[in-house]
Amino acid sequence: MDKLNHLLGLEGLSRETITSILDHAVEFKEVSRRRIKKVPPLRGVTVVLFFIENSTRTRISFEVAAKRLSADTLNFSASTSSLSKGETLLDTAKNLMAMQPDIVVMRHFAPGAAKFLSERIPAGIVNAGDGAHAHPTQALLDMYTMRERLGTLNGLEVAIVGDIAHSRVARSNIHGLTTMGAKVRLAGPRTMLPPMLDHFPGVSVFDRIEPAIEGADVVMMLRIQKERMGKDLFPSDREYSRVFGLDSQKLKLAKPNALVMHPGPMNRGVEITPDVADSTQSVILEQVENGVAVRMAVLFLVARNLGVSEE
Amino acid sequence: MKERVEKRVVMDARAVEMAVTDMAARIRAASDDDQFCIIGIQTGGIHIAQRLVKTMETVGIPRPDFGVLDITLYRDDIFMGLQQPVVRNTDIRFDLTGRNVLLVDDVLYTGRTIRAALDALVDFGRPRRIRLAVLVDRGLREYPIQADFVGRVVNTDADETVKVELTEMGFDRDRVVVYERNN
Amino acid sequence: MLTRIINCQIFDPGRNGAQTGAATFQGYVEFSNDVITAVGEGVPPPADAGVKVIDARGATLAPSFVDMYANFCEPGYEYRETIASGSRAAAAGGYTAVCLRPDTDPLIQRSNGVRFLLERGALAGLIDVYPIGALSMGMEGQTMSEIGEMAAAGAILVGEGNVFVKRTGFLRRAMEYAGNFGLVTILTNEDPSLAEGPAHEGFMSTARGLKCSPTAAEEIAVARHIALAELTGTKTLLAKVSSAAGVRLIRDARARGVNVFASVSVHNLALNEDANAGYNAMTKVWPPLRAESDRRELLKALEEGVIDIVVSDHDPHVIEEKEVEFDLATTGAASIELTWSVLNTLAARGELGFSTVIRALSTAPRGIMGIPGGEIRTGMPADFVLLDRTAKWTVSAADMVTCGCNTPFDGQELIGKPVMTIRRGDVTWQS
Repeated sequence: MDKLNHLLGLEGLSRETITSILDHAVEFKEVSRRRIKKVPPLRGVTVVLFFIENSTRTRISFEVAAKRLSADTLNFSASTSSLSKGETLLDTAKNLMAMQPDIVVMRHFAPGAAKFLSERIPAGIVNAGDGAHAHPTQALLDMYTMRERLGTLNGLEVAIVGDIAHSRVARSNIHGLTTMGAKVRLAGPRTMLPPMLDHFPGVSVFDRIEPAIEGADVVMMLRIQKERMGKDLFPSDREYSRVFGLDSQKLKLAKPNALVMHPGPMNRGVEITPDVADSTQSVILEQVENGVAVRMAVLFLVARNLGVSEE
Repeated sequence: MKERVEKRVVMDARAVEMAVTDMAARIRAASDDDQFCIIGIQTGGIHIAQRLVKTMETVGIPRPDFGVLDITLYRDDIFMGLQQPVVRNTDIRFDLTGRNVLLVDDVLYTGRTIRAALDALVDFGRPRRIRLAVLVDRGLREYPIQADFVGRVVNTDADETVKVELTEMGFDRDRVVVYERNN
Repeated sequence: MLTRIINCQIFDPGRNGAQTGAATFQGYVEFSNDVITAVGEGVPPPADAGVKVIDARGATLAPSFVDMYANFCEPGYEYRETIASGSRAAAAGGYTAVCLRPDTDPLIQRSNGVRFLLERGALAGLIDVYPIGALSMGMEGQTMSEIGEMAAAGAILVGEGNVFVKRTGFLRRAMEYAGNFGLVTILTNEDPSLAEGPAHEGFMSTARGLKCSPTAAEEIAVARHIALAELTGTKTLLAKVSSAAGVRLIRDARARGVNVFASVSVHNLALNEDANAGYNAMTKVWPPLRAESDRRELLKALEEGVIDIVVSDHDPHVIEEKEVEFDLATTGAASIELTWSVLNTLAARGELGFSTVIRALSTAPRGIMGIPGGEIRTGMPADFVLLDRTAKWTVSAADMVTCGCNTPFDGQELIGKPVMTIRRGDVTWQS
């Protein structure tokens, strides 16, 4: 199993390591269902939530995960920070180190930011999203959900639909799923498909949603970011939802009990219709619950490699 | 994997069976209530606990509530880099409040595992009492912990390891063996 | 005073023909004041008293290098580099002449800017400075700058730095006007409306989630500039071509006889998009590092002469500007003192010919600029560089002559190092 000093991305992680993370998440999900939702292994460990790009849901998920492991958490967000006064990322991080954090969970809008920090400060870095590059814990919780519901990841046909070019969720899922033996079908308008995606083994690429979801075990819809609307990528919400969005009619093309997934937050009525989002095939809320368990597993495994003791 | 050097066999299959039967009888005598439940500690304690339950069933005692507990997350040496701690299954589906809990492990040694198990158990409720049953007590305690029911007391040194090998773990026959410590 | 360099392997592009073989001959060179007075084979006759003798110890002697695209950051950005420090770095790289970009602060858009650069260069006294005058005031592409006045002050080159002139119609008129004064127009090649980010649009940008720019952006710009060169007849240098697509268009234009030349940056010859894999901002340059297939085309085109020259694209920055997230880092590398060493390392690997490298750094730039030299012959200017072609050494950014800290070659082992640079008979640098 790979030694997890940091979790920067899923590329290069072995099947064994990913399996171990998912297996640990099973046990941590059990902890979250107890009366007392707390275990002591990260007692005395300080986890800083370093969110330069804002996110409430992911940050809270990590915060709950850290607290359930008995860690202490500190919040650092961009708007209330020195970064808005022109301080560089590196200086900000060095100042943070004065508080002796053991683990830094970081979200940033620049790809490579987590790697940048991991090379310069002595804490364990967990990447909570760096620009369009990676969001490893999201892909891990997606895979956890698929494995829990469908029994295995090996041989699954997983369709990921939407703005692939700008999606760190898509990229991390590509790496994780193909490592675990699943096949990935990427679909979106050509304006949102970056070049050479089919150079990744196990990946096929479509410029329409229908062929991608036909016979799929899992349909994962990505959020259309409204900020992109002004950027020549597609004409309107309305057209996008009709041509590339998931509705119950299109869902029939997938396998009968195919899972419907979404990393959240959803644009109801744009990439996914409300009835599909709320259908029995939708595991979107489970993804959120599984997110805490997966993040507990990741924090636990990274903390283990810091040589940090409970006392 | 370096082959362990076997030093002596302290219990053979017959001795194990007799010890389990004896313990089951003593436990039964001291646990005459409907709040009785058994929790086996991962991994060795689970097999012993299951054997105790089976033995009790053969004399007509109804199967009590049964749970398994993994104490990895409660260990005090979890991050000392000694080994890769693997978190195993914990499955306790009943509230422990007011219960008469029997904690079961295979070998009692320093007492640290039991200390961790006690910390874990109180997160599942407030038991009325907790008692401990072990197949083997090998002494060399580092914490003030004692077992209420012991199958066999075995004298050992710190440079030795005691292993309980049971058929349900894949061994040919049941044995309790003292080995030379590996590291 | 007469000076004689002995024990050198002389490489004379004029003797060999710039493109063939790498034949050098053991010999000696004599020069007095700033002119070569004798070139001979073998061991020279004994020297008279009063002759200064330099023992090259087997180093190769070649005409010194001329860089047609560099930034010495003065005026306005002296915290990065000055003309004095840049001159030292250039001399350490074997250069005796450097063309400086106009995008300083203030811009070089009037005769006083040209004069300022020439004065500062003369004060440092190590290289000949050739200012590139901006085409438009403020480099905004609206009003022509005083190109005639700048020419009168001594400029022989114009260009808009790394800026793409928005209005094609304006660029046509500016190029015609520059042609009026016999100036060379230097144009960089990227249509900015296609460029969404600093990386090459290809596999690495997809894998790493980097914002990127496709080769089509360069292709469109190159096509435009070739068409305008054809239309205006002005001598045009397409600067820093980086793609196979760009090369294709240039090859075609040359075949048709259009008056265009092309340069390539040392970075695009030596590196490809894989260098960006770790988000190291030291590898962030413009044009971006492209696919290996593009790099191979660039090497081939340089060998063929479809690309004429190699530029250092020297662009120093301070550590605070680079020690940040890739997207936020400044673009550029300060490579002038490494350029020949990098190219020689490629030559040692068989990717380029030694004589191609000398042509690309010495002969061809002088040809485009119309300045004398580039041959080791009596009567030619005494501008040489002595090169140790086999020395193995490791680049250390901290020890470089440039004030800039930024090079993608930090920590790499290179083969070959300039050991002495001589400009008009004066030693401007020795190791």
